[in-house]
Amino acid sequence: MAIESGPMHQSFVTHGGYRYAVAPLLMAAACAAGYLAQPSNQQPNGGTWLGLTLGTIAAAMILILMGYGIRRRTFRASVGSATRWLSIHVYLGLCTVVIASLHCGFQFGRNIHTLTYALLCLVVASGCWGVYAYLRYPALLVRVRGNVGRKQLLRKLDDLDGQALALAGSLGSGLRELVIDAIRRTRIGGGPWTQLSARDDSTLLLGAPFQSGFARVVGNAGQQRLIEILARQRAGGGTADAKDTLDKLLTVTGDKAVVQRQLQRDIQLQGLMQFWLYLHLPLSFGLLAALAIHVLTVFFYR
Amino acid sequence: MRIILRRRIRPNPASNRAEYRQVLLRARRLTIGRAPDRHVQIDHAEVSSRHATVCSVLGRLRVRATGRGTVIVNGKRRRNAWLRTGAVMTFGVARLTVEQQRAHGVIVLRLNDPHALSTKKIESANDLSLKEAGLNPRYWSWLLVIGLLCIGFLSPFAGAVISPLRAAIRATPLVPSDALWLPGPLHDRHRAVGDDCNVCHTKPFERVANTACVKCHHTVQHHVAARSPDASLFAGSRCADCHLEHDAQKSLIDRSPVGCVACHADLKSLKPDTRLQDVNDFSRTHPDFELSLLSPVKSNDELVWRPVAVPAATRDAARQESNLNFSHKVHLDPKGVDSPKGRQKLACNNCHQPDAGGRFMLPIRMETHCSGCHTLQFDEADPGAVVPHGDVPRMFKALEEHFSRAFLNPAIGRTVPSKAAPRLPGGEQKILTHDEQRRALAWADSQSVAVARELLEKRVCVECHKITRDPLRAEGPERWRVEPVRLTERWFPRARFSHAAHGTSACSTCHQRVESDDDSATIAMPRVSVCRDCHGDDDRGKVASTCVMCHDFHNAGRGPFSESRPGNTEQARQ
Repeated sequence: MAIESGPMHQSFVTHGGYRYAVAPLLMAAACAAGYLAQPSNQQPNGGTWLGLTLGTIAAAMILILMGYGIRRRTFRASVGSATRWLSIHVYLGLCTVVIASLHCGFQFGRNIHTLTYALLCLVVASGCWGVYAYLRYPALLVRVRGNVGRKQLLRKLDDLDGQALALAGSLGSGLRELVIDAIRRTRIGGGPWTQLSARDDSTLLLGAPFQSGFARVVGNAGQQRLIEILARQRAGGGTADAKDTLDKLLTVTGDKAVVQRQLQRDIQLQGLMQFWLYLHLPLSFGLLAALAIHVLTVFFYR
Repeated sequence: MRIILRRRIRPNPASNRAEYRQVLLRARRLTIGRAPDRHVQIDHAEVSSRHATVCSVLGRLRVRATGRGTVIVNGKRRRNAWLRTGAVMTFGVARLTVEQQRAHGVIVLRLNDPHALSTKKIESANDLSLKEAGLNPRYWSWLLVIGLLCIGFLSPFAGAVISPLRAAIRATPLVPSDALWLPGPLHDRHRAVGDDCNVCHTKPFERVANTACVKCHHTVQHHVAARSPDASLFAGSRCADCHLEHDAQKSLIDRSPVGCVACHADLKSLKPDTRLQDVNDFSRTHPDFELSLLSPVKSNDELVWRPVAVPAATRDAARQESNLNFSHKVHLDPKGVDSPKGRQKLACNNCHQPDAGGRFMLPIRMETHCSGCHTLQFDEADPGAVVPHGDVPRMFKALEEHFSRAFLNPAIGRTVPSKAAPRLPGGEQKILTHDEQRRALAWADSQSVAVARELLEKRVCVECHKITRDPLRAEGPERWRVEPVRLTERWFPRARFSHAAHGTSACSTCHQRVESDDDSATIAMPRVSVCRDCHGDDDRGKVASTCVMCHDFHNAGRGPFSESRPGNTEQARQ
């Protein structure tokens, strides 16, 4: 797991000593120089010869950037390392925004052309989030769960549930059913928002004798409600054996809450590491469609 | 609704009988599903998070599938079903039975879930990744692509190419039309065109033709004579080369010099007989300004005064023959000039005043600008008497009237010589004799001629005007001629200049050495170098000045663009 944390993920930014940043940056700088060299009395615009040139370059760059997806799926070692390609993809993507901005001459409106530009910005912004995710989250993941993998954490949770069941078996049927219900209603992960916000949706169906009146489904985030009830039972008296069992059950439940939290953070960070791609990919294809419409329509009404 | 839910629980190892544990719930509807917040939580692959609800409708129980799945009621798959006592609902392997429907809406349900007897495997029961949670980038990609194609292309395209649909699509709100393709708003001056793109864009994938422009702008003048062969030099030129629409800029005109310089950098290669000099830019290659001077030109054996271009080479020697004697030096004397009110300091704007548009100077008028000091008095004894300006016969008439009156009325103060004086034995009431009248007339005439000669040749008129005398003619109005004043009004007729726009500069910045100029023939019009002090191309610290800042493309009097050959050629091409 340690290999996920440091140098490997940073390497695509600094790969080859920023070698792959040089060419796109030089190109962007050349385009910016061309833009600034335009006569000041002329409104910069996508329709001037410079605008058309910049637009053609930006469109070609978008197609090359989209090609990275194909390249990634049909990986062949001979064509160059994946890191090198990713490094080129990142820097080329950043420069595309610069060139597209110069192409449009910073003229915006409520039209398909500005939508294309906005989509490009969103694609690049989501890509930047991806870069951030790959640089930041692996280290955070290690901090959250140490060197223990998710499968091990899940196994540990199962073990703790097993221990809790075994301990609950010797308790009264009410408590036993409550512990079983808590285990059944323990929630790890869930919907996209629950995963990304690391929310604990665990609940408990609480009825008599632990709750007066009607039974209700109550929140049991971090197993807090169960711990409260067990602690109340422990304080309520009973045999030494029963108290001992409740003590152990409390310890097990506390341990479970810790593991559960680790799992939730793990799911959250893994989710965040993927979520940018769930934006990046659809937005990229949307951009491709908008780009096609943009090019077609500017020549339709010339 | 009150529900007594009897759940089968893990049996006590000591007993073999099935054990049930019941909870009393109160809810508007009983929720069933995999999610932990359901009243009845069932872990099974066939059960969705929010699978179904059971509620009471007018005292009858009804189950309703809330997700995409179905509920099996008494062995039949249903989306909704009424439930009677004894009805069995199946969710995966769990069975929920309606045991009793008691009075006061109390329902007894029995849940038999074999999975509930053991704990679940947490990994399989939860969505631990975004993919498991149902997020699918491919789905969203297709949705976005198809949505964009429909909104951004199909609907507008249908409106653009299928004419019966066009008006309806454009008029219906929220239906995407080709307005979405508009790269920028129409310029304010073209608002009258309306929202119909096809007024100008007549054919798809073809550029807007000049014919579309001259449909409205049929009087716009050509750059060269529209019907001359020179017009063919403009074949292929488009109005839209210079007039940029949908460009979000304040002016419709492309002010860059590129279009002008394309021809004027080497005009001789296009028009060998041109007298215009080549120009590439303002700050380096713009030729010196060519004066246009009002000069006598022979036309049909007659001298006509017309503006004539003075070649740059002879400009230094050029003089303005205006038939006026005027000294700027005298008038701009810092100590002031003599006037009826004493010494008075004059400035340029005492005489040179801009017109309402602020571009040109109003003509100088004797009555407005000169007469304050230059009074046309001729009789010291009668300071109120003046001769009229600008008309020699009228001047004579005025003088004759004055002296006739002076003869009759000595009270005016002029000393009438005794020989000529009327004898009035009977006092003023006596009527003059014929002889007396003749003598009076002769006296008045001789006085008038003497004063007129003095005015015209020595004292008043001649101060400012060039006077010619015809010695063959008798002394009278026909003998003298005040040469008409020929002041050039437009020195640079092909350039636009606004005095108002240059109001922050002193007059002498451009019209140099005027205050030391004693000769009215000296021309004090600026040279290009004076303008270059402030104006440049893209030079830092200079006013960016392109061709159209001073020059018009559409030259008045050249004939409408619509009549030109290029326009016709283009029409023919279409």
